[in-house]
Amino acid sequence: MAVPYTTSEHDVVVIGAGGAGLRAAIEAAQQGCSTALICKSLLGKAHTVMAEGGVAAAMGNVDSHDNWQIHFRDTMRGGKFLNNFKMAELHAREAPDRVRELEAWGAVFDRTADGRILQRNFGGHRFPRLAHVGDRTGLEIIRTLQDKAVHSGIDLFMEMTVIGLTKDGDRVSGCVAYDRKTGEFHAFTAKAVVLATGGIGKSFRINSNSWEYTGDGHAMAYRAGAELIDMEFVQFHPTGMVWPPSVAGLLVTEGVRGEGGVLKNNQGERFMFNYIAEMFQAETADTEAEANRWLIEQQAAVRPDPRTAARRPPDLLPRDEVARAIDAEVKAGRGSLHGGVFLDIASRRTPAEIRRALPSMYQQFKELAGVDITREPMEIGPTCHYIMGGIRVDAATALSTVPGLFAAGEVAGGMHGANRLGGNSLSDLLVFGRRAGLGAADFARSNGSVGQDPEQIEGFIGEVMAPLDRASGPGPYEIASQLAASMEKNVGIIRQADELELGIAKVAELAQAYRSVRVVGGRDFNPGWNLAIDLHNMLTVSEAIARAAITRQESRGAHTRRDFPRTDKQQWAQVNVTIRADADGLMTATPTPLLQMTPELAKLLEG
Amino acid sequence: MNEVKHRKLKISVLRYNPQDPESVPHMQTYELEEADGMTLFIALNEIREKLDPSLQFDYVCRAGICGSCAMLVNGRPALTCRQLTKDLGDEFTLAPLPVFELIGDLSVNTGKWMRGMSERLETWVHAKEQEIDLRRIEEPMDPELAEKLYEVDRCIECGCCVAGCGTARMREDFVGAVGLNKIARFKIDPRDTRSDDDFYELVGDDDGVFGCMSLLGCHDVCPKQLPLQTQIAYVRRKMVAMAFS
Repeated sequence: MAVPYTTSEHDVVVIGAGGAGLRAAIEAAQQGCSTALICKSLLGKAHTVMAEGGVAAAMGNVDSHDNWQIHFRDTMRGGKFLNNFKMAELHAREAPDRVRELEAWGAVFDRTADGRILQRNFGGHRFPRLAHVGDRTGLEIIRTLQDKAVHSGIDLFMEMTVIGLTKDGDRVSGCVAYDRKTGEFHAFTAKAVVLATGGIGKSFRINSNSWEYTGDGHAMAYRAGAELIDMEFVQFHPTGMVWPPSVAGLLVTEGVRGEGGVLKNNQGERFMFNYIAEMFQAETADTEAEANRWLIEQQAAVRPDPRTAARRPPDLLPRDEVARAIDAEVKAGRGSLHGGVFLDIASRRTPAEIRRALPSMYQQFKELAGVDITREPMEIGPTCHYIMGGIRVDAATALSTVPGLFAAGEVAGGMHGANRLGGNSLSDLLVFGRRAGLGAADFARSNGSVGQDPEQIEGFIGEVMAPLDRASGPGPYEIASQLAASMEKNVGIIRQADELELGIAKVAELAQAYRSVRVVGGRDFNPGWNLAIDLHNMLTVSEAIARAAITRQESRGAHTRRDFPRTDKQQWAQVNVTIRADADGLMTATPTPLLQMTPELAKLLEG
Repeated sequence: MNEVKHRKLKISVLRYNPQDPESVPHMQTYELEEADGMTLFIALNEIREKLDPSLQFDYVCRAGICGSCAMLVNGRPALTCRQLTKDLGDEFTLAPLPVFELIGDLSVNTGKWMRGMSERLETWVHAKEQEIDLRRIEEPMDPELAEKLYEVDRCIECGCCVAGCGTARMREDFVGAVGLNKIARFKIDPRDTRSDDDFYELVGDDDGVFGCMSLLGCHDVCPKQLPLQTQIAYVRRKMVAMAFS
């Protein structure tokens, strides 16, 4: 007997209510579209709340030497020039407007002495650029967007997980979701769909992500025929908590280092001076004396003259560089008791300064690890944090390669290239969340209504119901934990061909087991069943990551190959790895040429 | 590392599924071994993964930022991701937050409640101009005021204050400390053009600030240690002044 479902119709449906989804929904509604916003948990609880450091925007409030051109340059260099340059340009140009807009909507920011929005230093950013409020910027952004959305006339669907995108011919026609509270199904018909589902962190054992980060948007878009790019680039944030085990992976904000914190090994050595890559030598301090002078200059009331200023400490190199350095120190036996290294701010700033600038970190370590960061160093290590790769989109409209399907935020690929700079994610989701909302609204206006195919809807429902009907089979927790362990071991920070092969084989083996996965209980709020549904997506994105990683035979940004340690200046410098399904539905990974940059922009990258 | 002998924890959970007509509220006890630095959130996940996949509870961030995982621990509202099991006895009880609609077991719908409160109190900046000129630099704000504003804007809407409130148990439409704190936040925000009159319309009654009995359970249980006592007193002073003006 067919399972019943309810239906609704909208111009635009936005899937995901983090920063990008909220911003997209607000924009679509302001454009006059009937808009639905679907979130996997409650409104305002999305993973964006975890963003701590700030939103990168070249406003030049703290140092007037900053401008969008330098932000563009920093972003491209951080991304090892693989970025979609049009996205990087739009992002750098528009981020200041988006911050001012957010401020006008009521967001609170820390201020300079003369009342402007204060900006802080962050890894890879040449000037203090991150607008922030303490170390809770993400929460403030979500709260502001949520308050804005409440009176924007958006239909809100909370605690609903989308299980598949429906199509009318080539075009996306909506999606099917189930309500976690009741287990009931709902089919959305929409002229345009925006994916804003975030990342994939749950595919790795140690990660900083929330339970919602199971690659749903990546996987559903792929199955609907969209192309994914840059999936080999998974960012391991250098500083996650390592102890106690129950909080392993939880993020320690880069703001700690922005405020002067330094990394040390178990000999007390500031090891980062030994890991300054050639590309960053010109702008990085190479002695402790210069790095210390930098901190003093940053705290001075007057900005240092850039011609004579101390260069930035190597602790603030981009995240990929720092994560690899920590990994190497630990493997060389210079790590901490629990397999990390030390992050020390206690010896650099006064307790009062630390508590004011990093209140969440202070509380987090005090409560959960029993460590007082104003007196002792923190123990930290790399944690899976972010995926640069995602759905291939058009920079201006956020349209994917499937008509009517848009993507913004972490689920979209291209903006960050091979490595994302800290602070560029909150700005990304504001800039491209808005653009996706606009793009979807335009698409909905200029394209007629779509038809909904009941067979597709029933197909999706049948698929997710199957695990409840089986009398025996492996449980979803078992498969998920094996997957995350294998991804960490075989497709982690440092990779090589034979391990990647093992990783791919393991995903295939677990995908086979998944076909007979069994869940006990019924449909209403069944956590085991929820995981079984998410697991399908986790398997798909894990395969995509592993296949892209074995395809790219070089080391670049967040992708490090032990068997190909060099960054290639020719072949691999000019391609993205594109993931798509072939005619038989098998996953393929193919190098495809980068967009050609305009000479004016290319000039900005020189020197 | 020294091997420490771990305790056996006995966790009694109030179970009930309102969706299921056959279900009756009952206590169910789970036993598991404590681990180093274990939080209640980790304990609940272990129960779900190893003992009972049907147990319902909420969490998102596991870092005390999103405010999804509040429940009653030995009768007192708390965030499970911030509650270390070592600070509890060998045996303890868990129950869902009261006041909010029960989804099942330890899961309640704080989202619906918060949204209703937000719509009623219009918890957004009511700006002078509808059109924002993005070319203009932002209005300056005194850094101390920004700090003061953020001090009250740190609320994570977890619902602990509402669950710990005597009035909220008696008056269905009481806006709670979370609502009054928001009013205090917008009242001191120079970007919000609403007058004391406007705020009086919103909270100048028994569902608002005059419903508060000053029991201050909210203040005691707030996991973010927000100065709720001060904020409620501030709103009350302003509203009393309005009532007599």
